Amino acid sequence: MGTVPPRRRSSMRIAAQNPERDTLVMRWVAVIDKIDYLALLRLPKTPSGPSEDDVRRAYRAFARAFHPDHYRTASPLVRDAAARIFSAGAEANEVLSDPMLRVRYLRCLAAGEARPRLEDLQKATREDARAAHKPAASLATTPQGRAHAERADKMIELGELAYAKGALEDAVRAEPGNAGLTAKLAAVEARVYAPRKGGQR
Amino acid sequence: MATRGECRIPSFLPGAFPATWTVGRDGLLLILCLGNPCDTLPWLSTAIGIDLGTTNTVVAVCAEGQTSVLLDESGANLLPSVVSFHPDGKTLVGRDARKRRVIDAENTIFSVKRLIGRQWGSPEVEKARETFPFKLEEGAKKAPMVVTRAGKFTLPAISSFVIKRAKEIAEATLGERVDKAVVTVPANFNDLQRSATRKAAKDAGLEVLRVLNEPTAAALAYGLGSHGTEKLAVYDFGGGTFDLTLLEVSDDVVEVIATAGDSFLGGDDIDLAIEGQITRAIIAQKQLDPRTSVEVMALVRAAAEHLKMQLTKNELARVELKAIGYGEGGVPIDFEYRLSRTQLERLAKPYIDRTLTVCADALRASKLDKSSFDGVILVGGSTRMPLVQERVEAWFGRPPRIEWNPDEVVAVGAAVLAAMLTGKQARPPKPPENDAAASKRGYTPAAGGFTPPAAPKVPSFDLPGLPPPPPAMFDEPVGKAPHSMPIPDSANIAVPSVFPVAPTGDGPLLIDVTPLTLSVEIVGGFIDKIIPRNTAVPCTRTRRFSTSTENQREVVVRVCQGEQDRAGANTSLGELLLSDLPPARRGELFVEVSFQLDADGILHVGAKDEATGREVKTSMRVSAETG
Repeated sequence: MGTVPPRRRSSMRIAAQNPERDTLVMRWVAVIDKIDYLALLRLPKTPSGPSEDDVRRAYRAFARAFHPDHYRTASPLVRDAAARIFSAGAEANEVLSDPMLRVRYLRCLAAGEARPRLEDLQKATREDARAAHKPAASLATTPQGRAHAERADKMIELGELAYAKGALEDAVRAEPGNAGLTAKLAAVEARVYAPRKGGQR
Repeated sequence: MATRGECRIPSFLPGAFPATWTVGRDGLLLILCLGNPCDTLPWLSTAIGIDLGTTNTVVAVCAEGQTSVLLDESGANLLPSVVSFHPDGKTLVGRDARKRRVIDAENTIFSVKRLIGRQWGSPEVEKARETFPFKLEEGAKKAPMVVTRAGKFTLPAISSFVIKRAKEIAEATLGERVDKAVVTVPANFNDLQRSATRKAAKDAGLEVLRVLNEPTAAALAYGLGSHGTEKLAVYDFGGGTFDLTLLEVSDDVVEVIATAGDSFLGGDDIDLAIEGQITRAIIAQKQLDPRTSVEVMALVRAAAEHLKMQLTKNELARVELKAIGYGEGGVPIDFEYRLSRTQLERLAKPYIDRTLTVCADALRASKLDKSSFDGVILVGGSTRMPLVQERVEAWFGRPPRIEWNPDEVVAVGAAVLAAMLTGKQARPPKPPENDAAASKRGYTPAAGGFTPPAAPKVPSFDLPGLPPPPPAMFDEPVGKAPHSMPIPDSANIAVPSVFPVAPTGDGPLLIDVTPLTLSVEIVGGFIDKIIPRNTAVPCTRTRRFSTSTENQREVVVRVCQGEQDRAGANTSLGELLLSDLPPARRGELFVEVSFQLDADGILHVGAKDEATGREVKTSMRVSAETG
């Protein structure tokens, strides 16, 4: 403590200019507003979506590449580009690592919408959270839908979330325009994906 | 053939500096540098870490992968954050200044950190005007100024004296030029406070590489050597503030998950409680009120702090206060006071309990539970109290880590980041061996005998209510409105197949979060959150708003920071006016507000009229540089 280590200038690292990297950054920033979150974090597109660990690992690799700390000596153009890319990636991480937002986002993606507005997603998840507390049967409006919804409620009570999800999917198929049932399904999907986190909301 | 021109040297390096060249008569190429090479070549100068504390400042450097705290000529690691203006025209900083607190209270400035970046008329400044012995006055742009015999100074100017002294210490110890620094601030400092701190360092001749959150700095000092994913909690209980920060460290990436804190809770509060006890005892036993004399109160205050420090090691401590008054015939009255650790702990318990309430709040925000943490790091002088260590251990269910000196760990972390940012590889620092053993339990106070000069202490402030907020222009945010986001066909977009490899990619990386929610005021004085707290920075968020009145011609975007529902209860950062809006029915004109927070915590705000595409922009740092 207190003693200063001897220093040799020669061993100091010199950050070299990197045209290859800069070109890549500019190529990324050109597509940044168009590509979906999975492509942005270079996550594979699987039917069930990426796992929590996948997202975390991908985000770290992403941050390693684009965090503004690495671009302090780059030209302002590249630096701003990297900051923009990082902001988008951080948003992708936020959405994909939140069980509720993730369900809604993957649904948008399946519908062909790569970059829904974050505020719309958040609004949808607030509805989902409200629906999570209501029994599905109270949300259904047709006899057929109610039958499926009641089955779902029973399954939720038993803790059989995967079956509940199936029943709710049937209910939504019976009543395609029912926003309440869709929200309930999203809430259950989030719980299937992350039992502890999804349940807390 | 050209015989003279301009070039940049060395051309193969980034940050090359401008130069001119000429071909001399004998064919020799002459190159003349323009400007100071140190300004553009990071490796020609040293970057330090500065922990600018309320009470003490610590400076550290990280070189060759080794981090050390820099000591002044007398071997002290703590530089008191006190500035005193001597009658002979000299400006004293540090310990010499602290000694003058009792003799020359009006010209000795301390605890600037409490007020820096706060506006004239804010509750904190009002309270300080009542309690601080030095005089405050309103300066330009509502910034408080201190009035001394040497003239008026802004608060960043006072802080810059301390930073200048820290820089001198560093330059004297290292024997080289120091012109860059990472400066730390409490996690819950808002943007105004951060920019004011940045300005202080700039005035002291340092380029601020980063304004870093203190707990994050502490984790940097500890976390880098670990492998695999680790979740850490940083419990920072200092002289004036308390913060808890939750971090996830993995593969050299430090990610902040959540932060929470209380800016009016610290060791000072415990000192004040002891002070109250002593005062009551003096009144009861000697029929003397020490509060009537500034000098005696300073003595009592020093005694309280001394007792607290003694009781970290001993079960019982005593102080003797000499000449607290004069009896008949001018006989000085002495007073002896004893305090046991049990008594101290009874006094301190409510404050420690309050820290644990904040801990519970932070955990709730992060949706984690206590058992998911792999380590708890203690930071700040108050964490030396055995009771704090016990309570933290009981609460988290694991013994906290105290290998680094809790007073120094923040500066060490700042130094590590400074080395990282200047491209000098920082290997994981190792806590000094001897210290690790010494700080196992019960820290040894630096000063042995009872001669500590009265440390600058500030009573904790109560925050009275704020005036009602001004009317806002915005209606509730628009939910599902038609938007023109194109639905892309990802097959047609040429997405690069790899990420770029950053040159410093093998060093540790820090992903910080914004500690306080950034919002805009909406109708009724409420707020709408644009960037919620604990969002990774840098970040960009946009939100659409609609007008709240018929034919509204202008919209004022009032930006505030804080966790309260009412705009008036949060800190106002500034405002942005978007005028000349085309006439439209209420609720039919949309304004897109964008917030862009950069890695240094500076906020850029934009407001765009969607119909005409007209946009106004501002940066909150501009309005923040009031000092």
